[in-house]
Amino acid sequence: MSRFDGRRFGMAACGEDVTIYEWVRVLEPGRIEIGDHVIVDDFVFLDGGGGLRIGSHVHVASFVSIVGGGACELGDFAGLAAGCRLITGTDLMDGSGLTGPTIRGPQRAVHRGRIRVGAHAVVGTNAVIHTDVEIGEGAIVGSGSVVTRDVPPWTISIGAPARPVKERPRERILELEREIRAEDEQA
Amino acid sequence: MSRFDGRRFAFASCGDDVTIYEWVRIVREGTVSVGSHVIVDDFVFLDGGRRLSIGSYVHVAGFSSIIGAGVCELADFATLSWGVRIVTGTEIIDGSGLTNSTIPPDMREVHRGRVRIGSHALVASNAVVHPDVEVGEGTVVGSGSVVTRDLPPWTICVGSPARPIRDRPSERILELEQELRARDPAAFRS
Repeated sequence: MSRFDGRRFGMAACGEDVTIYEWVRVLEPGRIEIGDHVIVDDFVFLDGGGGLRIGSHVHVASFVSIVGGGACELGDFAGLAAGCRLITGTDLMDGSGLTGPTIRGPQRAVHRGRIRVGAHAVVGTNAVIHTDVEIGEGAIVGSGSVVTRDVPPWTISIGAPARPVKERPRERILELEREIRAEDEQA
Repeated sequence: MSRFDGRRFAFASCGDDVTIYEWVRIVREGTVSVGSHVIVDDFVFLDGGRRLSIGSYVHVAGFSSIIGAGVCELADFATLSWGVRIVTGTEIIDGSGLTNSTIPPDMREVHRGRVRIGSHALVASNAVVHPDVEVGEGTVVGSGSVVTRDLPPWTICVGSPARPIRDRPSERILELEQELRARDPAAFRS
């Protein structure tokens, strides 16, 4: 099992202790910024195209893809579980154009947007996040959910479309965050 | 297209006629045991975790993963279709800890569980199976389903959470199994 230091990819910025496994595919690394203590597992596909910012203490699990040519931001302590898809841009399905990357001219109608995953948020296994969505701080998106609109902070949301079903307590998590930030500063 | 014999891996045990394609990633090989006549397609990720037991005549199709560092058992004749996620362990998300692999262990709350996929069961494309779940013998889990609790044997289950919607006939399948066992006793010695 081979792993690389993130700095070998020529990213716009890359902090300390960034592990990118051998079978990760990165497009346009010059548009990617990564913080400290980040792990990206095998079989992940990252397109830096529209700007990708990954915070610190972020884990991107196997088979995740961040694609679509738009912008994406993953807050500190965020986690993307295996196989989830963050789609930052999309072909318009309203009949106004042809669809897909084989159409290179003006016949294609595309919208490039933005996705933001807040600090401490976790996107569950095989969930799909659509364009122009913000996952609030500390929010959990359940496995297999499809997120089509903003998810409020510190809630647990499931389903397609994902809807909040309960709240998630934040006190202990924010306390642990302060602890770990203090440790990081000492190190 | 390259394929390897399963015996080239450092598995705890491995039977005959085990094909593992080139772009399969396996971590903790030492806790994995594999029967005979098994195929694992490209782009599969397997973590042996505490234990991963794969029976005979099992197919794991492309883009599937078995992860979470718990215990997993795929019984004889089981199938994982494309992009299936078997998750044997999980972060506790009730607010009692920080939640990912970059975090020091004393600040995380993790539960390592167990998943069992019964013999003749088939988990269809992109379905997710959560920790501490048993998919019963002969049961089919529909594409994109999310399995959060045990599923009864010989049923077809769909949805999120997956629920049985009808029965699946078992007679002919079990008859064919007996025929195959008689023809190929070596595959089932363990």
